[in-house]
Amino acid sequence: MSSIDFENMLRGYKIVLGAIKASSDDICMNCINLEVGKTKVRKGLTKLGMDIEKSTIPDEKKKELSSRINTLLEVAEGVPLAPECSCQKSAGVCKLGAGCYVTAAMDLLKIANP
Amino acid sequence: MSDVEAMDVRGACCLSTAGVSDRLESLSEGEILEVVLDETMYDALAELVREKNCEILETKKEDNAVMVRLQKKKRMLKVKPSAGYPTEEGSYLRGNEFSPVAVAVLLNAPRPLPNQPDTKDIKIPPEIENLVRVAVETGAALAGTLQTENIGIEKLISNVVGNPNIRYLVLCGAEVEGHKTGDALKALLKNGINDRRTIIGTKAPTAYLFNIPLEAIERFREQVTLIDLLGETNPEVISKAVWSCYQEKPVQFKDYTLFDPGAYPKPAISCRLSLMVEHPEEIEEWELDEIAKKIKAGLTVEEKKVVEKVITKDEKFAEIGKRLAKVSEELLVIAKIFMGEEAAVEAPRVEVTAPRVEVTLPKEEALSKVEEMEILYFENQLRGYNAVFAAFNALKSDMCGGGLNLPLAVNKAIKKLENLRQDLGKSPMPAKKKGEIDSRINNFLKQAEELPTEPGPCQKTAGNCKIGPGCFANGALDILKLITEPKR
Repeated sequence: MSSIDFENMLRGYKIVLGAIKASSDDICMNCINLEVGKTKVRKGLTKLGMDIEKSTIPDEKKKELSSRINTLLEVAEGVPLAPECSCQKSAGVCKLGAGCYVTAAMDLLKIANP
Repeated sequence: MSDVEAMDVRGACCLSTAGVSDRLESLSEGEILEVVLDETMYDALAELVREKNCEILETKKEDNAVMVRLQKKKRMLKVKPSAGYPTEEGSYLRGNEFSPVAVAVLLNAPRPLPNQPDTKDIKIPPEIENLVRVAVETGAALAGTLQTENIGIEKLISNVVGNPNIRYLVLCGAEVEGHKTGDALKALLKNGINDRRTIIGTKAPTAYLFNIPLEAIERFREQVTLIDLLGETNPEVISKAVWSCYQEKPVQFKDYTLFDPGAYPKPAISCRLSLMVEHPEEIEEWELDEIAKKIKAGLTVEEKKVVEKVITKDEKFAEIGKRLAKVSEELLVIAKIFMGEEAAVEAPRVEVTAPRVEVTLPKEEALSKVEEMEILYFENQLRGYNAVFAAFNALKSDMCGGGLNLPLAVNKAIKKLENLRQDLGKSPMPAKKKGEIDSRINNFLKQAEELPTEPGPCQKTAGNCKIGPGCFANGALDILKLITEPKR
């Protein structure tokens, strides 16, 4: 992957984090999908960091991107979650239908996939 | 052919006199008898065959005579389940272990959470409990609830392959919305899993079967026939399905011809979940190959646990690092307070800010169903805007801020919000609720004022956006398309 690909991925994570953090003010705070989303963002960012380290992009760029990853990881850490989460659809609380805002927000990352 | 005993009873006045009746009585299992008789006696022989618990294998007509090859019906084979059957704990009831049918009732309800005492009292809805009870009382070997598309299905497989007498699986109850477990189970039986241990062709989000041997999955697929009653919640229908499965003679149930075929002709498989991956719902697609490889390598359970830890080792280090950084920040703050520099302490910088919007409506008065549905419709819409505007806010500081699609998406969102406000005006909901929702709409419209609305040049055309054909701004707006129910 080139530095453009990494930049695009980071833009994606920034948007996704914004969306899932906004969802955490809602019933989604108790939802397993938000917990999963948060974990996926953390894992994805960690993996992105590893990919950046392994890549051939200049060291200076690596540092810059890694610092942005760390900032995003901090934001991800700050997404509030209930101590125990369960699917809010199964619990009969979420009446949105078949869709899920958090999952849809996570899907935005696919736009950035190189 | 020489082992086959033949009786030629042509010209006999009746089958009894000819000794056929006695011979059928004394026929032992596996022995084949060939009877040649007048064509006119065929119906009488067919009746006698049924009476004597025999079955016709072949019939040949020659001139006015008929040759009938028959044998004693094989006794239905039933076997003992494996030791420890059912091996996995769960929310199920046990019935007659020689019954050929198990019932899985899909569960749409919160499960009691181990660390939250107040949720331990949460019970399975009575209508679901009733379906489970009816299934066992009608004669199912096992009947229980099924909720998740990964561990739940794995437990079901583990319990079913432990009892070869189970040849049918009745799947019923309303689909588990978030998990799509019914869809996953159907796809598993139809398509199986791929080499990444993912159920093929399902809409279920995390249909991974990491914790159960492949042998058990394949056995499960061979051993049972699915009776697909997905969506069915009528106890009478479930009861009829169970009853049909254990009939000796084939009966018609919906599109299925059902009867008890006896035990699956291979020994029971006794297995328990390895729990190598305890939270399959957290697994990322890029991790699947690695996990599948480790499982294939045949590691011990302990090693497998280590594998999972290895996968998450980096993030654990990251976590520890972050926490240590927080501790050092706190220590710095304390040090500055001691030195009288607390005023200079800066708040930690957060790059992404999400708008906080109040979303719960207090229920002060009883609402009609129509009013509830109306409120729900608007609430669901506003939940979507919550995520959409947070994404827009994240985008505005990016190149999208001076681009074409973000302003266009913002303008679309503004129009939608204004439209929503018009709908709100026409809604029959109480004025107070209208006021609350209207204020939330205003809140979003105010946020929109801070976002770019003047279209600039397309950043793709300008050569700045190298993201490919997709667009984050349009993608963010598409989140609103999720609102599919309730229909107005």
